[in-house]
Amino acid sequence: MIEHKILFTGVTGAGKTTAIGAVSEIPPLSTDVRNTDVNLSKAMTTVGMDYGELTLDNGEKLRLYGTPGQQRFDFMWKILSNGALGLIILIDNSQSDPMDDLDRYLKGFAELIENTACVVAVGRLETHPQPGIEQFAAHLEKSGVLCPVLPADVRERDQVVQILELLLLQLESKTGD
Amino acid sequence: MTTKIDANLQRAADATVQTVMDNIKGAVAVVISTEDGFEVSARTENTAQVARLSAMASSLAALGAIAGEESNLGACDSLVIEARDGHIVMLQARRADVSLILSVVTRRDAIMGQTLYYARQAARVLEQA
Repeated sequence: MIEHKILFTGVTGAGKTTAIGAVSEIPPLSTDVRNTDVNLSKAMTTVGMDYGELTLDNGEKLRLYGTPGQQRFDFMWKILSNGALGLIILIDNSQSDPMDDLDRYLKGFAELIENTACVVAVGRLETHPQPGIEQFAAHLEKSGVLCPVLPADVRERDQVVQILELLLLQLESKTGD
Repeated sequence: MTTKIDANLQRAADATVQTVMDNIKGAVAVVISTEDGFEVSARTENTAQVARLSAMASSLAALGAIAGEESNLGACDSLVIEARDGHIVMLQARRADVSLILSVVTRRDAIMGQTLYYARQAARVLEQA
């Protein structure tokens, strides 16, 4: 059986835990604890990792890991990057500077992105349309990062599966398989 | 960042850090942090980075908790890391308002039993403060 380790990252509240929970065929493992940061309007926050599993129609098994979003947990970014075959960056467009958020994760996962595949999924576009998908794509191109960017509501299972399939296609095109 | 720690608990945390540091021979750093990885109080005699240790304690405690649950061993009360030059003991202080993690970094010559004894006492103090 072919297995892939896929990593979800992005700002706190972008939907990493939600995305994994939406598609996992096992009860997802979560390390959410109570949030004490008053600047963050969220009851719980991930401090270790999320984990779920998904078998695709073609039999490929995906092991899905979610990182903590905050920079202070970047040691977990490095640990979880080990052996990963692809990265999904979730952007929350309702944040004050989504482009800056994107840059933080492009920088934090530069080695993984360089060596594997990456997809950027932008959420909450319906209520916060700017910056738009084209602007994200232009920014990625300017940053020298070749990866697709698409809108997504990660509460929807089909949309998360679509992101994962796009990531695998990206990986195949990069490795030439 | 601003954490939701009330003044009474802050005073208790400051006093606890001092007590643990004074009582454990070989202790080089004592850090109390929130379960989501923010420093509440700390004393250090080495180069331990308090903010970093607070975040790591948060992740390790959470991972210890799911490891215990997934193995049907129940809640994780403490973690002990044995490194080449010393130990790190991490204990949870569970409170209704905010759970805290006490991390004690010791030299290799510290007595583990003594470290655990004082660390558990300190955790109880934090739980009742």
